[in-house]
Amino acid sequence: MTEICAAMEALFPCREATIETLGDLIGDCEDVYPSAIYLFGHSGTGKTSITREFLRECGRRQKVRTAHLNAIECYTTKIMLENLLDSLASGQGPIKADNMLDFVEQLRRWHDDPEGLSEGFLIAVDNAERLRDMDANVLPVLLRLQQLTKLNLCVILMSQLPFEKFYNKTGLSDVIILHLAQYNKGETQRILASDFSQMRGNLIKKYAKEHDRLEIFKEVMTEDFYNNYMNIFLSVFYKACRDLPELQLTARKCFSIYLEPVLDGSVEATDISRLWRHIAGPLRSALTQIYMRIEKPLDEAEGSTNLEDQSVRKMAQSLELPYYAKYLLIAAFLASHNAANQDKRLFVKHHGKQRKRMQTVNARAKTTEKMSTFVGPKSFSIDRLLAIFYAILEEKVGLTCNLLSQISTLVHLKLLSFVSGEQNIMDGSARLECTVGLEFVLQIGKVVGFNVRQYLCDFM
Amino acid sequence: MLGGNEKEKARALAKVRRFLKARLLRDYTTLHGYKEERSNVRQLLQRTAEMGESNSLLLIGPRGAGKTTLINAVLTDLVDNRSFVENTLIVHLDGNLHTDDRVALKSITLQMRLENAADGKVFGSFAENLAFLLQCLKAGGRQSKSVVFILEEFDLFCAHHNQTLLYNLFDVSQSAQAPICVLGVTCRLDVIELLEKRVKSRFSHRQVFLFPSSGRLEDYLARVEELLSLPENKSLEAASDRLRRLSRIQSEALSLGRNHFDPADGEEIDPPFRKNWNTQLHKMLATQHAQRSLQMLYDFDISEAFLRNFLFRLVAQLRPETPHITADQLRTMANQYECDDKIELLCGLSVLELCLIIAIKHHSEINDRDPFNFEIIFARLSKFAKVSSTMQGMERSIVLKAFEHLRIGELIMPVSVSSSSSGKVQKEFEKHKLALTYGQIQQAVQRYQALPTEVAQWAQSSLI
Repeated sequence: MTEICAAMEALFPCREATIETLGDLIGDCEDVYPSAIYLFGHSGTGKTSITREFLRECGRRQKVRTAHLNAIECYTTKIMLENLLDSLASGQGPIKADNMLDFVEQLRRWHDDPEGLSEGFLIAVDNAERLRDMDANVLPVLLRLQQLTKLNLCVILMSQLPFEKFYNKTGLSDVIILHLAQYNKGETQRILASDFSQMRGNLIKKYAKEHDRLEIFKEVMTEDFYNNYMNIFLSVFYKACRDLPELQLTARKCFSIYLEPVLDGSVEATDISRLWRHIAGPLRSALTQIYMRIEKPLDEAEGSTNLEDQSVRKMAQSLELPYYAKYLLIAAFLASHNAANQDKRLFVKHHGKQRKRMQTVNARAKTTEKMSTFVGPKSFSIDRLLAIFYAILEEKVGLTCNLLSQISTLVHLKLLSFVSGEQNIMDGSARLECTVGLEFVLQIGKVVGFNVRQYLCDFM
Repeated sequence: MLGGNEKEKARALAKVRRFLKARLLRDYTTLHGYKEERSNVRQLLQRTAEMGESNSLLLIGPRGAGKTTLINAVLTDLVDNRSFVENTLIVHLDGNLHTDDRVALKSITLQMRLENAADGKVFGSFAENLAFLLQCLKAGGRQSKSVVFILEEFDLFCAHHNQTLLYNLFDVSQSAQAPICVLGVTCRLDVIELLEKRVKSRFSHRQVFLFPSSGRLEDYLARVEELLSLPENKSLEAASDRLRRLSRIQSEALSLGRNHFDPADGEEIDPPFRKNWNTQLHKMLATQHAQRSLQMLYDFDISEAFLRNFLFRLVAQLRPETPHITADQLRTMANQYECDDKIELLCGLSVLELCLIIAIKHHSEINDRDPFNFEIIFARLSKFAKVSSTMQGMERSIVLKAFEHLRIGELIMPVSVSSSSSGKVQKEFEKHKLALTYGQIQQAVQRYQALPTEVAQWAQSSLI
């Protein structure tokens, strides 16, 4: 047991306590295993990797059979049971198990097996929250599997949810709950900096051809330098993201940009404030792409004042829709975000006088939460869309099939979507809604010279 | 010499550890308390075995109260009785495993060892099949064997189609066709209401309720000491003798004896060590810290299953450096049970995600827990971001990711559960509700490490 823990602690820094507890509970296969352990914590805290390594070590050093599977892969119970049996049996050919009873009986048979030299069985299930959606008996049986099979068996469940989310109507048997706390800032930095030598090795290989750069690199790349970089990196990223693998990925990607001015010789390696000025822009733009894993050069968006605005503007401008399609899109947006009974007042020239009643005044006094741009688009019929389209378009165009086909183009581009009646467009009962945001439509409006805000009830 | 001594000690400790662990988790047949209920069930089974009476009984009690242990203990008692062993068959069914009547019947056949007799026969109905099985038992000896059906998770059998199995079992038990005894075990108090009328009328309405005795704290403390102390060798032998007799129950599904905690297993623990251990334990349990922690546990959950689980974790921590359970360990472990998992998770969120939670909290407070969507929360967050220095420049896409992360963690939950309707709505506009209390958020904000002051202030008041 101590050897297992020692071997694991080197691999997983800052997780000594968890590994020790796991070792105490299931480290020794001659001891009695607890029937179930529930491991939970945020993604990227090492639930899966620690358990996988732990099972591997146990399987190698002791007479233990192990199985590790992900509940996402098991869309039926049968798949899960047979996968479990296969990996526990380790190459005795496929074993069939149609239902829970077969599974449990198969395990019971192993108990009598004279050749069965293994003393312990360890089963680990990832994404255990999926077990709730499977057959109702899966979770209770897994938690009581030891008692049912009379084997020295332990089930380890892993999930991001607290265990209370698993309770069903009649409750569950007791489990041992272990929480993997999120790494704090110091720990994060320590773990991120721990790949220093690997990073150095990689970059030396990369610069191997350019001799002078390699020389500078070898001189500059010290642990201090790397730590400083991590410090700067975390100051930007840590408040938005604490997911360690994600941070690691981005940190590696941005490091070469950080290094660039040093290798060029334009900035001294010790001049941290100037290095910071160089890296701040790319880091901020990298922050906008975290989790997305878009492979594109980071410096493209550099130097912009307002990134948010720009990305929407860029997209709206790059979308080369025909003139009428742009108007159709605007009409669709207006139809989605205005109530139908307001149409007359908005789009008809002589709509008569508005009678003011207390009721309408009250209804107008909107809070932000009730604004239709916040609540989401409403559906509209094609007739209404065309009526608004003709009202906002200055010129006269014929209702041709060219025009109508542009509606379906917009649907293909996912700018509009069908809510219902996709099959019967011809009889007019199909209902659509507009899926683009206000920002986007405002840009489109600017392109064709149309003030969208003027026609939105929200802004009156 | 010293090294050898140390090694000796470590070996002894490992032995103690193994012994205690096994006794805590594998002792399926030792029951404490419930004297009346125990004799009640035992008499029932005895009458079935000896006089051929038929009966049905429901054992009802919360999880971890010791329902299964009670049955096991009664069976262990009865094993001494030769006539019981020879006269009865035990059929053990579990509602979680036998999910429909076909599977259950197959399993009954197997457990009655009648698969050869039933092979190749075609039965018109379920009742016919069951009647045949019972008839087979009669044919053998001069007196028919009685069968004890133990139905674990009895409430799940009620969901079977037409409740055929239950109907037939109760019918047989009532009409005295063959001596059978049906023992249902469940944790649902309203289980009688689940039975169909025709099934209910055939049930004897004999119910035994098991509630963990809310006895005094002293009893609880005594229990703790008993579970952790090392017994004399003599009592060990008696216990393992009892165990050996268990193997006389020949039932594949029940198989009590197998993998049961066997005290005689392994080497003996030498008396001086045992004495030392017991006195140390007694001293520790007498301290105020230990008493307070155990009082707390007692207030949480009085069931023995819970206690055993707790003590198991304590025993697992034994190692050569810390050869005794200390009051400190007891306290830290007890504190682990006290803390709220959701607050732990909240403390692991990034500042941005916590800001979202705060924005949601403000929205819920103002609008009386109305559901919200991403747009509403984002607007509220942007208002804060405008005046704050830490949250500036958070892009919509990152905030949306953070929002989704909260949803994956089920800190916020979509209002409409059905996936078909949520597929139509864009995710920015999908309605969610908060799955936290304001108190939890408050505590998390207080405990969060290095939270920017302005965020903490914002959490206190929604005014910016």
